[in-house]
Amino acid sequence: MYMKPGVGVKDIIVSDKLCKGCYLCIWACPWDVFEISKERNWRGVKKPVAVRLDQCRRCRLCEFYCPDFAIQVIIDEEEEKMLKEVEEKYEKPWLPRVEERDRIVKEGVWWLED
Amino acid sequence: MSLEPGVHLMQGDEAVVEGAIIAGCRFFAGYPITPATEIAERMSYRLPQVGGIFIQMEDELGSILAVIGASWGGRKSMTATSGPGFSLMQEGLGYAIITETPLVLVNVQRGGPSTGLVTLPSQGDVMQARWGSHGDYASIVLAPSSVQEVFDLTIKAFNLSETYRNPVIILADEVIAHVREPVKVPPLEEIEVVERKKPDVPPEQYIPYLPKKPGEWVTPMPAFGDGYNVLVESVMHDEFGHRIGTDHAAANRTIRRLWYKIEKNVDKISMYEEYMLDDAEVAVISYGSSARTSLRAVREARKLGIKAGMLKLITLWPFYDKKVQEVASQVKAIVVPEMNMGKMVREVERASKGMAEVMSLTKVGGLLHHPDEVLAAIKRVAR
Ligand code: SF4
Ligand code: SF4
Repeated sequence: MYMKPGVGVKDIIVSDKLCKGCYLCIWACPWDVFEISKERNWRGVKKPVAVRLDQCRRCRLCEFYCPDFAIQVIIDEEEEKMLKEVEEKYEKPWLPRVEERDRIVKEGVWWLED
Repeated sequence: MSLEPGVHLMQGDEAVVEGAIIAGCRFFAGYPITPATEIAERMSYRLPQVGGIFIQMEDELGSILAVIGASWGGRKSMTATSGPGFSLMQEGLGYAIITETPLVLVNVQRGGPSTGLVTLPSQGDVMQARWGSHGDYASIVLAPSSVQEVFDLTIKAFNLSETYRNPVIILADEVIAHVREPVKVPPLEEIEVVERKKPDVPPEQYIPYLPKKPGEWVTPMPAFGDGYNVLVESVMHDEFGHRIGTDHAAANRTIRRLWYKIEKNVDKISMYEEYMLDDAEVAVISYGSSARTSLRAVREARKLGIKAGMLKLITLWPFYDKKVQEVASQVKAIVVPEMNMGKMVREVERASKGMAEVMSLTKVGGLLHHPDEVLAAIKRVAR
């Protein structure tokens, strides 16, 4: 079955909480949909980002290959809404703590200067 | 009861036990192995007498991990082994290093490789004691050369491990372990014992791996059950103890602190003894039981009019470059007798920066150097 590129894909979501940055998804994707993000997330991982969503054929190989169930190809709008909410809910209480952690480390680490 | 003050006739292995008990050791997990068996044996009846716990484990892998657990349970803990067991313990040793767990490990060296020379002495593990576990870390390694020193250094080892939150290795050998010598036990109040520092802040404010101010290299250590949530884990961690498998900046900070906390305190950690070095032209640098026969050779050389002296290294690691450099700048030649194929001699060569001729005097097969061999070497370089 031939699928038109980009048709019917809402988004490809990679979980902050689960992705460990192994890039098996990138390796698996036959259509080179992903790039590695320049930024690290709060877990220190540079996640894959679906920058060429218009090339996606919905084959879900990326989903199947991910050993951590971290990636989802979203076709349905309801599903998209639900997943995005879950991700946000998880991230929100963390962000201030991450910022606080970075501040404490910046002020507290003294042994690197010689 | 710990040992009465006074003079006692003891084996090196027994002196380890008595020193440990005075230092506050109350947990021992180990697997008997020649020539360290007497340590486990004596521990098995001495520890219960002082309210401590002795476990004979299934092997050395389990032994060191049980010791780490007990240390996090709040007890000063130790284990003892010999070459083959020491090899098995290397992974656990790394675990203790990254979790900054104080413990004392006695390795009574015997001849290797592998099962090797079960009942004969060697100094073949000096490099393994420094570099044996994988990754970057620093070690504290002490080498006693008499039963008295075994006793004193065991106490010192516990103090160092509590101060720097690092495993401390005592590298004895079969000679020191089994020789019987008088040990002078001073009155208990004269013995310095360092107790573990507990956090003085409430659990919410406790940051497990961020020392409070410059110069304080380690943080106070809570025990399991004290209410402090510390993740004790072997994956690289940041200052908060969070796993940071991919955060290179945080890993850099952690690894450097583990290294610096020992290497930058080398002046405080290093112990050595000098004999007749003031006007020496030939220096013998030795350690452990090799230092015993070397000293005799140095005295014989003096009688023959050769200006010989000796530097006995008590702390092997961190290596005290400064002292060796000082000796090298002062003498013509250095002889390094050791019961291996020439290991610490590499460090001596490196530290002496070509200022003196360095001669390695190797000995393998399970015999101590005869004083005459060392004397012959001194004569050769003195010419
Ligand atoms: S395969 Fe899964 S864990 Fe690996 S990079 Fe892709 S999303 Fe992340
Ligand atoms: S669904 Fe298929 S085409 Fe689309 S990103 Fe995943 S692997 Fe690539």
